Amino acid sequence: MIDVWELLLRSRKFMFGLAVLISLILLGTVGPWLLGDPYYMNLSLIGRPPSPEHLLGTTSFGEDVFTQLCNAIGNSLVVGLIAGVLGTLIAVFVGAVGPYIGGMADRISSLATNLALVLPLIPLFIIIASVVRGLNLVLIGLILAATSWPWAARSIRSQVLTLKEREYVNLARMSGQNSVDIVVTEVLPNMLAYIMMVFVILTGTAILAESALSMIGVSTTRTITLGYMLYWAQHETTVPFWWNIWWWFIPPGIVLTVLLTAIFVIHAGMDEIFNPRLREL
Amino acid sequence: MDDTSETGNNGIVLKCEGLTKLYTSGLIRTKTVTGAKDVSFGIKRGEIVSLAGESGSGKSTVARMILRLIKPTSGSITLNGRSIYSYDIREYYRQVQAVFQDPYSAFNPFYTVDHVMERAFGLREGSIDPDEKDKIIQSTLESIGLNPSEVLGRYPHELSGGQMQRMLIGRSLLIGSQLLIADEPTSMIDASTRAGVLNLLLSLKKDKGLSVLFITHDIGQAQYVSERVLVMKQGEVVEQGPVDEVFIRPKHPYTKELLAAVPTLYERWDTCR
Repeated sequence: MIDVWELLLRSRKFMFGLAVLISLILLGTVGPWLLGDPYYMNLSLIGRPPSPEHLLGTTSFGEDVFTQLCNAIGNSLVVGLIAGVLGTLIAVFVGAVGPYIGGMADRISSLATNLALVLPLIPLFIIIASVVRGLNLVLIGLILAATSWPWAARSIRSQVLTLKEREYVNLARMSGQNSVDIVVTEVLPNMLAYIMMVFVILTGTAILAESALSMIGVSTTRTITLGYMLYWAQHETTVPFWWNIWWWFIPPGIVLTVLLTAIFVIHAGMDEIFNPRLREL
Repeated sequence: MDDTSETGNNGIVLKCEGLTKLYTSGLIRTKTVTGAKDVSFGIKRGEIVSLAGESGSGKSTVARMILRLIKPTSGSITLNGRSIYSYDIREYYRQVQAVFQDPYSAFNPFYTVDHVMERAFGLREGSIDPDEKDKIIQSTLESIGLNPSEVLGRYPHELSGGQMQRMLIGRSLLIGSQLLIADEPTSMIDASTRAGVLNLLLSLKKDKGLSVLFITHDIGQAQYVSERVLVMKQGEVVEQGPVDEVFIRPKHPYTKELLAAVPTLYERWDTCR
């Protein structure tokens, strides 16, 4: 296990992705703190192109795009993190405990996984957005978490099924440990690398899913996220053609692309380390 | 222990009667596979009994039933006169422990080997302070001929198979168990270290009165280590008795076949069939 950390630190892909991700996190956390109110509309400065005062110009409402962007990065990361952490926990719980106990417990957890697997995200959000007033980031994170875990639970299940046949599981049982103890101390540590990868992927896909939902207007329309910026940029332009105000939609688009690329490069780096066949170091 | 006084010094520790395990699969069209069929035998205090037979003959199934890892379909197993299912799980494992076939699978690669030894203390009553634990672990390892500084603090892949099997035997000593189920403990370790493990079992039997169920597919080892032997085939015990009797005058054709299959030195292989 210790070797794995050393290898990760030596992996160029992993470190590059991490560096990009950390700089985006800094932008998303320190930025809003320095830049002031992202919703402030200066109606005398509507739709201005980038300038030294407004690094990325202003929107059709006279809001500063850069300030909005920093806030959007932070909020999008929060949604991703909530969905990533919760989704991973659900996946581990459903994928590990049921199959470990076996029999009926395994059947129930498999059924739950299969049911969640066919839950369609976009129709679900359209229904939720029409019913729930005031969707906030936490709620969106929760819903994304609830729909994102099944594939991970499935692959964790298959790994647990092989790991539980190892003799050290029997040995632990013969040391008087109960099932939960054994899953936590004997089975899961051997899957830690995989679980970390699940977390990274779930976080990335949750950010993307939230942006997509925001962009079609079924997510939060009050809190700035990357998708929210794209939504307003395509709907509320005062100029004749929306592409004339390119400084409004290009930056969030680029940031979204860079953020997801960073996350998937981190994943690729981890994959190389955890999957010895791909290892080149 | 109270239990030892009940059975006396030469009493039967473990007794299996009519032990049967059937595996059924499928919901509507069920298919039944016999794991073990009507297996009966007993192990006395300080006795090593061998369970011999080919792969898939049900040796490990019997071991797993005794270890309460799988439930028998029918039949009874008693430890010191009481059904094994009447014991509290921790109380049971304080008396019955096991060494498995594959030492590399018996140690969790995530932890150093100390983990397995420390976990064993969970079966003891009361709490022991860490210093005391270390001392007990060290003296136990020394008593079975392992150098504590050579093995402690290492990861499983840094040890040899023989060292690991000895550690597992040490683990059951630490717990103070009276019955050891040794499921092919030597089949995956180097031939040169096999004798060490076998001799350790023999000396523990002599010094501590340890009872052992020694499962093997190697007739030579069974003969070396045990007094009595059971020969299994397709889940059934086809022959049992004292080692010399079974191996010198085998009655069942399968036992004869097994004996004939043992390669011997100074003999051409094609002629020994």
